[in-house]
Amino acid sequence: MFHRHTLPLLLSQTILFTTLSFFAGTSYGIPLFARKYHVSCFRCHTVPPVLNDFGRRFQINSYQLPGTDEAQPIWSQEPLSLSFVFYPSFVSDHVVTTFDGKQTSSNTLAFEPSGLDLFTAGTVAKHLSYFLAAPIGITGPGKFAPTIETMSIMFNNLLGPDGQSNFNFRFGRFRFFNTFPDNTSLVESADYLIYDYEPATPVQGDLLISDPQWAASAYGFFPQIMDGLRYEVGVSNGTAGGINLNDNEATFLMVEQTKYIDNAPFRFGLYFYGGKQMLVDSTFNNLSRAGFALEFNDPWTKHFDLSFQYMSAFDDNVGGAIQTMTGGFLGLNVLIVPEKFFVYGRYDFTNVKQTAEKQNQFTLGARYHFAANVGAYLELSLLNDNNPSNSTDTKSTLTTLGVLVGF
Amino acid sequence: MKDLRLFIPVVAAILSFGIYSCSTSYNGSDAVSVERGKAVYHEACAPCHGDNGDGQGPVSVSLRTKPRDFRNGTFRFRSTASGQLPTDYDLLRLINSGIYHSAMPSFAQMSVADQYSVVEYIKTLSPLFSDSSQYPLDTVNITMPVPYTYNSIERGRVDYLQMGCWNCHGITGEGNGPAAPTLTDADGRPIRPTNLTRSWDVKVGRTPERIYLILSTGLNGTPMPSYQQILTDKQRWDVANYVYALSHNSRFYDGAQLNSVMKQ
Repeated sequence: MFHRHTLPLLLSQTILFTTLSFFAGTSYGIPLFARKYHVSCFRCHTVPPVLNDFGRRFQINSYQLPGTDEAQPIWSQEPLSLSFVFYPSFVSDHVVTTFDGKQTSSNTLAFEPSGLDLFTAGTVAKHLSYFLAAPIGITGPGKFAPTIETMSIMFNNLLGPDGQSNFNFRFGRFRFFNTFPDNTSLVESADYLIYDYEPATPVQGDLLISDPQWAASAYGFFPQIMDGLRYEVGVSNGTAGGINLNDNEATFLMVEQTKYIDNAPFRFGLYFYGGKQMLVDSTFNNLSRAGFALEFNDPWTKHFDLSFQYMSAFDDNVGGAIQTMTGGFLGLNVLIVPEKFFVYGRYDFTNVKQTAEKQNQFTLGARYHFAANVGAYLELSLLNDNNPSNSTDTKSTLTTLGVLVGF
Repeated sequence: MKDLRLFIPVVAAILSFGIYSCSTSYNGSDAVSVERGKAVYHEACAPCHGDNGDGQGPVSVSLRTKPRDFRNGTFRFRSTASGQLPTDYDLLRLINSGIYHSAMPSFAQMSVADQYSVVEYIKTLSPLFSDSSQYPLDTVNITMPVPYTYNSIERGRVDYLQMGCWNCHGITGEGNGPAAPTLTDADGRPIRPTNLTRSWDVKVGRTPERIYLILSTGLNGTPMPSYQQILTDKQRWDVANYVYALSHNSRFYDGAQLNSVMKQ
């Protein structure tokens, strides 16, 4: 399974890891919300970017502390709510492709272009706040371009007295709240397979459940229902926006219930995402994504966090035919040393019924934090994509060494 | 179908308002205040401090500094004599200001009524607050500060060394004294003395007044004792000025002078 260069690679990466660690350890800084509230990153994250229970409540309260409804506008606050995140990485990718019985392989060793993420968020007035994430990505040799990833205006705590976050409204470009959103996975080098599934080719703008999309939604949190019920309902125009809703639209529904079992959260979520999209041949594809999510923190040691998600996908016009997919993932995050050291793994799987295409992805990683905002990780990700319909079988072995610095 | 979908947020609003209507709101009476405090606590505090106030909420396991266990009535940051319960104002101030650069944020943006309600509720979590033998509380009065002058800082440095503060906080104030690795809190958990030279690491004693208060009251449940009976009022102000100077990049340590200072 391992390429012959893998061992020297891992050795060289370990040296690089140690070197980077030395320099990273001398850096101090505090990312956006930690800076705004003068708290540690671990206030809201078990390990960044994985949200803990407080972080989930903070998020659903429109990025304000639970039980509060802020009124102080951002321009009167010190320090300014602005932060940056760097995430350079070094990757080794070995791919073996078998097509019609003929095997080819390729090796890639590269410093991964990472760019820089810029975040700002805050309160504009009582019941009104915003969130903006603008990555500056590398678009070519020596070329950088800023993009707007998420940009939303939030009307928070609209119905209750101060701090009652049970009804909020937002619009703009944002990710829908999901039990396991794409951007809060501890796995850095491998995407969730089910979230990337898009079998038809739209004219413009994707309808991908976990991507930032132009939308409007109502969302909220009821702490009095067991240990908290979160919900969101929204209407989306897809990732591109500016398209007639008659040509590209989806509805999102999510409800997620949390119950503490001996102070260990157990979560159960249901979600639905469905709509229609215009394809390049001017026909329409009606699609739906539905499933459930489970999270189980072990109530005995409280160091093991098990997550599972299942999704069923339906498209009625993939090359003129119906296509269905089932898939999901099983993940495990293990807290070794609080605020310092974590190991984790995730198994992703998808199965397309009509083409018999099967994807299996296994990722194993370790993350060490030198400071709350400075971490380094090493990940090994194995992907097997077997598609009998076009006689292709692809196996890739991806090793990633990365550093995350936020300030 | 699309038109119906646009009504979904409206339906959600109506449902939300219905559920909200079943919740309590503060109207000023004690019982309702406690009930309201319980609801706010459940939403904002329970993830760390736990539903029953044992400090073992679901978030606590991933924090190095564990949240306060409200059940035993031991509070570090107070204005009362060593070993005593905090005043309502002490609790309110912690909720309002938070503990800098820890996991405890400032809830200054929470409504004042809710902050008071949470204080009332927290007091129900420990039987000590309803134990009449705990009262009256002996509060420390913050006296007229000794001016923050070089002379005061110098005197504070001498007292810092003579009182053995360096044993935990280190001679340079960097939290690396010889006793530092052995320190534990009342629950037996390792505890780290504050590095007094890093202003961003100082959690509560961020002004001479707060440092003076900590020196006077000590920190219940930690090895930090009260110096109210050991140092005079003026001496505590001098040490407070010295510690404040340490955290603002004023370096005073001269190793050659240590022995002579110790003999004074």
